[in-house]
Amino acid sequence: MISKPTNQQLIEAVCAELTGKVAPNISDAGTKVVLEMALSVLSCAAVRTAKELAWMKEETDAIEAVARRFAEEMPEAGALSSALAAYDAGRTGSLYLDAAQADYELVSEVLSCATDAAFASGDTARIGAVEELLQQRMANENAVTGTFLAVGR
Amino acid sequence: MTDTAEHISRLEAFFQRRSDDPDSLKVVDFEVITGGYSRAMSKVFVEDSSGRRGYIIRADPPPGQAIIDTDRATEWSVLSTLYASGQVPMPVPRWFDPTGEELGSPAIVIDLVDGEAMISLTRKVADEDHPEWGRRLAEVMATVHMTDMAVLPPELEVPGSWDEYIDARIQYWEDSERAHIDRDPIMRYVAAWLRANRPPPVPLGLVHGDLQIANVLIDRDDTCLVIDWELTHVGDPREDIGWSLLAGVTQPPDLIRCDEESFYARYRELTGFTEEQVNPAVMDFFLLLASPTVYVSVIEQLAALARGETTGIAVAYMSPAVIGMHDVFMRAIAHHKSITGGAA
Repeated sequence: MISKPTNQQLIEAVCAELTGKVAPNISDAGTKVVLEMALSVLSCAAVRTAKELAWMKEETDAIEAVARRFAEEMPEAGALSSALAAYDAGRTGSLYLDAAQADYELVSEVLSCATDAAFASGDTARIGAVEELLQQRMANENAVTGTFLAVGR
Repeated sequence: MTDTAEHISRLEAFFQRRSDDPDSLKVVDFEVITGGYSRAMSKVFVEDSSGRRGYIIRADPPPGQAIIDTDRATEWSVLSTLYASGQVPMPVPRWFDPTGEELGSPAIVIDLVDGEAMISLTRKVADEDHPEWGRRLAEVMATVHMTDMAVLPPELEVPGSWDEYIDARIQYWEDSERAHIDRDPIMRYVAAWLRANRPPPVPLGLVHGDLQIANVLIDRDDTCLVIDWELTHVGDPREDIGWSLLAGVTQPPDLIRCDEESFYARYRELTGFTEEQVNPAVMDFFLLLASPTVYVSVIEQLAALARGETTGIAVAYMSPAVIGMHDVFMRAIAHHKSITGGAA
């Protein structure tokens, strides 16, 4: 396979062409909105294609560490233990995107259950720990979109 | 005949059937309105022997093209009932094609307002004028929220109690996440946070559901008219303020946060709500509580795209929108903590 230019570079080249040559020639307001939406989606896809596998792995490692500690400290948190067990049984560690996404879904459920357990415990340190994990997730999401402003409104 | 020509022909026949002089009626101008993400909106001008008139058509878009599916019959009932009550200034709702037999898809026809949306108007004024506009927005919201519940149509279900309603709204966050095709820990975090930060109640009342400055028109008499009632329900009126706060981030200007105290003071004065019931921290709660109505519809549409059931660009575009909303949710919680000291 060819690896250069990267997918990100290819998508960005398409975006540049659409922005520089197609957009100025569109007079219909509805079509302009469609193009702006398409450019926004393509820009996000460019960032994701370059980084999402690494981001999912980094988030997974961080979630695992917190969740396993919570499971030890709060054996009464049955949903968390079950989610961790499902993650351990189902994860593939594969780098194929479909499989990596499936792993990420399993660990995301672990994070949700860890969040529920933290709030149920009322422990501010535990709530803070899950909030840090969510902030990590948000930092990655925000790197995809930048500031979101609704097109056409 | 092109799709547009065919549509104009349908419109002409529709308006001819409602004209006193049908033979003289012509559609003289037609324009698709951009910016709406749910209904297919268009502006049409007709002319007959009695003169020229403008109308707005709110129609169901083709399947898979809308980010929110709502019911035109319920919307029509809300529009016609509220308009007849005279309690909320709004454009005149004229006609309803419930089946799409005449207009191609179920559609509502309302009078075109000779005026401008508050969003475009306030984008043209100086920043220092925004607080005054914010107080006008507070007046609009108070007018909607003080509507007598007795005039509401039977389609709007009244919850058993405030607690029952709030519990159901929070549970909706959690249940929707569990039903979604993708895991979304931020939704579960929001649900857990809402359960831990319940504010003092207010009486249940009319909630517009999408009361933001894009949906307030200022006519030539300087009257504020409220449009887009498709998400109207009975609930906690503060939801509208919360939703408007979210809209203010993605569709500036933010006429509330430009001078929060002035906005809330005016709103409290008109509604009689207390400072404990209406303040910036409480509104962070309602930003989150109000959001799933649109947010869940959006992720359901994205799920349809993931299953290959739609390819609509407006739907694909909701992927970055979801990220934008996540960011607003997290900021609202951080804002609440900065005011309350982080009590969970």
